[in-house]
Amino acid sequence: MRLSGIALRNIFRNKRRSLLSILALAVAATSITIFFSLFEGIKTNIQTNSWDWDAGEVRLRHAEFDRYEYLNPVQYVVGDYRDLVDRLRAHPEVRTVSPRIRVLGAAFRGEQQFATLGLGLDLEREQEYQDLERVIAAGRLPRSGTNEAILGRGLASDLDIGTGDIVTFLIQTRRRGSNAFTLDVVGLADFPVPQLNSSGYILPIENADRYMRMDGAASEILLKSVGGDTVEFADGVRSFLEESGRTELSVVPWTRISGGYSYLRTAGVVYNIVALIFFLLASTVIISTTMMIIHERTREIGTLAAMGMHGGELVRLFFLESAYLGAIGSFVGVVIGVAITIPLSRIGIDFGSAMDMVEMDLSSVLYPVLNVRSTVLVFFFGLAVAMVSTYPSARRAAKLRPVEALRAE
Amino acid sequence: MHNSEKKRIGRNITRAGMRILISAWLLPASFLFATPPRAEALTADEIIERMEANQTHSTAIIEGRLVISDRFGDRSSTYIAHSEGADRFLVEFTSRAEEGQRVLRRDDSLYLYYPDARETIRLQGAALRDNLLGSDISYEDMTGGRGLASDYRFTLIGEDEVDGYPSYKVELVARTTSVAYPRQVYWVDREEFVLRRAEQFARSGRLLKTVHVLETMRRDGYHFPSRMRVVDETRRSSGTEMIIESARLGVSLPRNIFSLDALTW
Repeated sequence: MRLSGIALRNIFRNKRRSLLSILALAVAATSITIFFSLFEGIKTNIQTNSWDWDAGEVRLRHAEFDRYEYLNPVQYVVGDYRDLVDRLRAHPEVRTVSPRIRVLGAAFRGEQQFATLGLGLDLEREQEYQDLERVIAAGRLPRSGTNEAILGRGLASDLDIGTGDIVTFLIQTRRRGSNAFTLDVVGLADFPVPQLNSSGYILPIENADRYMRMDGAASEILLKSVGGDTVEFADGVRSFLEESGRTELSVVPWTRISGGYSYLRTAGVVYNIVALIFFLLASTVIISTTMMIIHERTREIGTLAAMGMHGGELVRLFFLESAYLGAIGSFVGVVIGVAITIPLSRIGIDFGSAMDMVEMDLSSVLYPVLNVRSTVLVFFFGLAVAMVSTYPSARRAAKLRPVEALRAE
Repeated sequence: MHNSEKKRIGRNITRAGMRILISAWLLPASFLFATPPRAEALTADEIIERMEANQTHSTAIIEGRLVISDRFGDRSSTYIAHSEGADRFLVEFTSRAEEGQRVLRRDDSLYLYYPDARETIRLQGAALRDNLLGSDISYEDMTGGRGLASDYRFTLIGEDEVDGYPSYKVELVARTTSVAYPRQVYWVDREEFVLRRAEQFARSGRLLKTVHVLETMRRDGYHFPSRMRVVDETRRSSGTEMIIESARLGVSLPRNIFSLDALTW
């Protein structure tokens, strides 16, 4: 009989024990498949939020603003932004452009003061940059050139106002003086970034320009590329600006701005370690199961050895048994993991207010994303763990002397 | 909190120590001791009383400017201020960037008006600690006006010379916990009873602000600071100069100028 046939038959000799090994591996593989999908979802979410609401894929600002950002030097602006936006739109590597005016200030309700961040957007062109409609929770988007605004739901709740009300903001102008203005609330937004929800609002860029005394300048310009490497894209934009004589501007890729990206780099390592721990836990079950099998089948091992089976063949036999268990356990685990992830990737997982405390561009509702590469990797890793876990016990079996093995009780 | 208690606390806050900073907008008009003879053996209370009298008046129209400096350079804002008594004033900014913006002080409250806003903003609570036009002067510094004696105990701690002027050095220790500066030290000119220098401290003893009177002005028998440098010591590389360019005292003011309706004209 071939070794593979013997190994397959042996699996069914103690079904409960085999089932325990399969179950241990399946649970580990399921957990890790979901875990990796969630991590992939977090990565996608942070990138999307950062590109849409914070840093773009690449951000253009006055270099002095970046240098003194901690002092909020609003006087350092991107001058004559309309001309620059037109020329950037014509650049072959640029897919979309979003000029923005950031309006830092405060709103009041009685003795309470709330810090606010207004985003002055070119509402007609912003639709090319991102789908603004998806953030509307009630009402509609403001119209260009009007005193209208859409408020983050948290901010509206703090100020106890809703659609149809007015709201007044006290802000710092480009000259670092102050100004206040009143806007009509025409909608409420569910921004994907918690900080924007609690303090943000959108207003037309023309009005932000007037209130901030920007004189045709923008706070920043966000860019998305047609595809490819972000750093190379940033280098290309930098060269373009140098050729255009706009050397006062700094070009920074989102990977250097986003706090979430730094988190991802650290978290990626941590998550891999966590995955390893899951499999190590599963491997303890396989090790103990194999040890039990060898202990129970010592006389059988002695008989096989007496009939001429070599040590190497014995090791291969136990490896094959583990490989079958590992393949079944990993496959079942991955399939269950995928079956759980697919609906979750559509309905999302709502972490609720817990995410409000997270200071990065991470939404409170996360959508796991299945990554084929990591899912296949989980299957093969489970298989490998099962086989490697068997090795010490299999070696021990191979070293047994037939005479001693046959005497075993 | 009970309404009367809120009012009491509010009043105490409005009497906070930095009121001397806005003396430029609250100039004296009915002062009998503008240049008093040198007083011998005055108590601390009498020194502060005379200094305050030098800054309390019936009506005034002041034109001046604020020069705000920080690490990014200087910027200037001009204003015209109308005041009546010690606790009512209206400041309107006339420089291009702030044109039409107004600050009204009345009934122990501070109101802001901006041409782009459809509502006036009544500053309360923590908002009073914000800075006027990003300067070293907080809105809280613009409150007060009912007399330092109700909020502070005074102690004469010595005599000193400030820019060559012999001055009394008076320590002010807060009677209540609701004032902006629990401890202050004033240097009051021995001859003219005009403030020459002030230092304001936090409860921890940390120096929060310094006021340095650079020039003084005499008008209609009154002698008051006309150029002061205020430095918020908690900020780096900043300073604000308050400069009076013209002062008319004892003038008649338009009716209802301190009303909320007039604020939004």
